Amino acid sequence: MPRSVIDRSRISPNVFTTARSRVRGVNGTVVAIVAAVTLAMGIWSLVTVVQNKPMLVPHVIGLGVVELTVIGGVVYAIVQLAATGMPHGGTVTFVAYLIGVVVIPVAAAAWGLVERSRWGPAVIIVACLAVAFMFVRMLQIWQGTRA
Amino acid sequence: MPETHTGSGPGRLLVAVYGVFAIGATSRAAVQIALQFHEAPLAYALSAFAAIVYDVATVTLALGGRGSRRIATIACTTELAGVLAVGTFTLTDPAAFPDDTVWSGYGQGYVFIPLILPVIGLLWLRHTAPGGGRAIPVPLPTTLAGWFRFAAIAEGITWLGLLTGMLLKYVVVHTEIGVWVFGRLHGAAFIAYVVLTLAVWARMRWHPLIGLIGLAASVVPLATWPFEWWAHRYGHLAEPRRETADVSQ
Repeated sequence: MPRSVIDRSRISPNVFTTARSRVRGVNGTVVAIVAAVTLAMGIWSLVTVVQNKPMLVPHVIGLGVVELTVIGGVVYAIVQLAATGMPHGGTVTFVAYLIGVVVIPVAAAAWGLVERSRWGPAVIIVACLAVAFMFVRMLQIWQGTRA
Repeated sequence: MPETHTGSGPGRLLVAVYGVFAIGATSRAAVQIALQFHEAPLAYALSAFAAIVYDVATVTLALGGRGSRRIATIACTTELAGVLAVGTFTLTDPAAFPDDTVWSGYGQGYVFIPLILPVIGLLWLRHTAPGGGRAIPVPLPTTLAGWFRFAAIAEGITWLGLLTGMLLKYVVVHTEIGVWVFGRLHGAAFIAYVVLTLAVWARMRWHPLIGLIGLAASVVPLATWPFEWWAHRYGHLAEPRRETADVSQ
């Protein structure tokens, strides 16, 4: 819910007022969707950790949803990147992040599933935080707030 | 098995956090060095060094074998020294760091995780040690041989620091601080290593040749590492009293 507030008031105006104003690239909406999905997955995993249960098949399916969402965001970013290029430079860093976010949920599923204790879902929390953080960084790079 | 592997249980979370930092630091360092190394050579060289340390720590903590534990201990110690040293440099000589590294300001850009992580890593290695925390010589050894190994590793690490400091002073950015800090640290580690070598020589009744090689290793850069490994590997750091006890039985 607070994400839509961030989306409208802070992130979107910056996106729409760049020199290439018709290009959105990685915009607030993409980051908000990824943040919402990773947050939900993170909270669910936290509940599992508190319940002292290991990671199970539903968690893997949940990570699959996270991965699909991430792939959606990455494909969207690649299409924008191919069409217009980066508005503020930093393309290589941006591409490194694109690869990173796709790899992380898969690695977390493999690494967490082997663990048959509460520390399996704990791994998912780290992965979700990392993916959300990396999407925010990509937004910053795209907007030129941070190279 | 009551004994915990470094990569399982809470260790799995630790490895996951290390893994995220390894991926981030490695890709960041690769980009910086490939595209903009000339802009801030010191910061980017440190980025690359940090990336290597994180990669090594992640892999060795995940593997958790005997050799891996040793390397993981060295990696975590180096990491802690790096965070403390770079954190201090960035506060005292900010001009040398126009761009941030992971370790700038003691890792404040990453909610101080870079500072906390190696401490937790070392405590975890100690906690999961086969001998209930006594078999791993770091952070603080309990035997004379342990202190010798500690000094030998510290001697090598401070040598590396001093060499880096000299590189910075004469080649890269002409700052004195690396040589200033590591010169003192290396001096202390050198004296400790020599004293402990003499003590172990007497205690373990080394052949004079071994003792002399041990002393010579303090003069050659990084030679204390292979010497310590060799002495440990071939039993020259084992207590002689046990051998006599075995013979009497």
